[in-house]
Amino acid sequence: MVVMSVSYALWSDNVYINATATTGDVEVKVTYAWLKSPFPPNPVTVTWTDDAATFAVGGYIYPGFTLHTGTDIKNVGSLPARIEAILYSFQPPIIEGCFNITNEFAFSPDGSTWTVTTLPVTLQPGQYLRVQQLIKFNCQELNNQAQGLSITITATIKAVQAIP
Amino acid sequence: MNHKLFGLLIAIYFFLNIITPRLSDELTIYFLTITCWLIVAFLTLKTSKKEGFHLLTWRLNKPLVLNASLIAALQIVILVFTGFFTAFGRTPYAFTPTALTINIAYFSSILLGLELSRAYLIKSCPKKKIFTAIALTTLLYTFLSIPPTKFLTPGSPAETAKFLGSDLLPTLAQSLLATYLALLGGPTASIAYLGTLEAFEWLSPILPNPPWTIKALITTLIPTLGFLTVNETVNPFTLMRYGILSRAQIRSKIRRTKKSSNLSWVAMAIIGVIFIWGSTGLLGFQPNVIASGSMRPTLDVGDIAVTVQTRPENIKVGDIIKYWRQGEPAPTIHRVIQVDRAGGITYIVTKGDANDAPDEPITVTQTVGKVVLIIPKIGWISIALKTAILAVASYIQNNFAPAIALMGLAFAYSAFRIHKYRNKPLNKLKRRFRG
Repeated sequence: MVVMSVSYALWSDNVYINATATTGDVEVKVTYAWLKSPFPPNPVTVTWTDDAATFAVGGYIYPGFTLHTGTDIKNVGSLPARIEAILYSFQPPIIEGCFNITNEFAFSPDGSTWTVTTLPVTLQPGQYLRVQQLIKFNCQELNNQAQGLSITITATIKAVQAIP
Repeated sequence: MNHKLFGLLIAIYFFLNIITPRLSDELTIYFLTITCWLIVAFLTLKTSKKEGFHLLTWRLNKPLVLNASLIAALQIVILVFTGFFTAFGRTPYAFTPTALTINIAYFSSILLGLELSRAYLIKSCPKKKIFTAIALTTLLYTFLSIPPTKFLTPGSPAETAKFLGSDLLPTLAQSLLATYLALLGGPTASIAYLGTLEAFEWLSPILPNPPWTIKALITTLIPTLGFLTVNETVNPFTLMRYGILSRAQIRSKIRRTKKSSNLSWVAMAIIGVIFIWGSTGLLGFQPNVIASGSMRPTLDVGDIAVTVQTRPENIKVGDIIKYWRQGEPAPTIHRVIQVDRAGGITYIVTKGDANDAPDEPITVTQTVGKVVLIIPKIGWISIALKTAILAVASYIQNNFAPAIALMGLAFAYSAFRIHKYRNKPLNKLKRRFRG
């Protein structure tokens, strides 16, 4: 069965997932996501699933256009988890590579007090990580095509078991 | 001792889930967990020996252990099979030699502590209260298997429904089956079931990643069906020994038992294995169901295109290839109309036979195979199956409350059938008396 799954995985994608064994699970989930800017007239939608936050922005996108977003992540499993990276994907594909992304990370043991940190971060069960993203559009050549474009940026958490 | 063991289990649950996560050293966390559960296992063995029954040398019920392993294997096979229709992902568990050693020690010690204590608790209950004992033990071990972070995380009604569906119900169903197995076959039987599931989850580098609704359905349904299967297949005298059936009920059960051939089961298993292995690509080829008409008339909807992996230099104009386009959830199978090599990179332009315009150029790194065989129409079975699964998943996602109600009704109906079956002789007597 293991060999079968591995062989299949070679043919398909290989994203880290949450594992939920009865004896101990590595389960990290997005508990909240928000967007500080831009303000209207750009219509904005923020949604999140267990392992990703999605920011959809419509309206006029121009060089220098900046999104200021945030994502709270919590270890809801029973094992320590290490957050290794935040992976970004873009829709439509022509905007791939058109953004400069700066991440700032803050750690909290209980979701109330936060201290600045850097990745990788180990979260014990119940602990939080806050990611604040500054996403800046910098594609001069897409200037005309970007007008009126609705873009979607998805931030996916890459989390693995933290073990010595 | 039952109360003492109960107290110890609750204390360990809170200690491991509330105190140890506050420690920053990961090794200490794993070490403490292993130690705690080994202490539970040791104390259970010592106490059970003192009380006259030896859990480790409990008479081995080989058919039951085999049955338990097969139920777990079936659950895994169905989950993996679902993965082919939905998604797979890399396990988050670490795979270095040290990590593997720690992980095996970790889940084995928990399994040993939980299952020895479960077997002891259920076996030390009086026969007269066996149904209450099964219910309470199931609830206790369900609670012990779910970390408090999941109970305590406040969430929307949708998140609460997700917790109930993906955590509580499956754990409850698995715990019920494990408790029943522990009662009838001792800790070996429940370890055979849960150990197989845990070993797959912890040691497989790739795990199926279906939507939570589908996973919840499988992980609830299979243990429930497993429970019913065990109940039907286990020796009636074993059920009588543990107070589950009375002598009159056994007579009725024996009358109902018919001999059935195992041949059909073996044939089904062989066909299933060939089907699953063939669909993985492990045998060097991979069948692909055609879902669109862009390659008509060469390939029609419902045809199966068998692809083999091929070297980039072997791809030439006229070949039908399979490739992944960025951002699209499914691969494309189209004909090559142009191959260009520039600056050491090979670009391929494809077009569907029924399309007017060519596709965006791709690089050879995006190709995964070349079509070598076309089997007409057979893929409709897969399309129908996939549509049915997605329809069920969509129904559950959109109508969670009615879906849970339907599942509840199914449970209730099964329970009613068992109850009715068990009381058949009694009902017969009542009818005769009334008549």
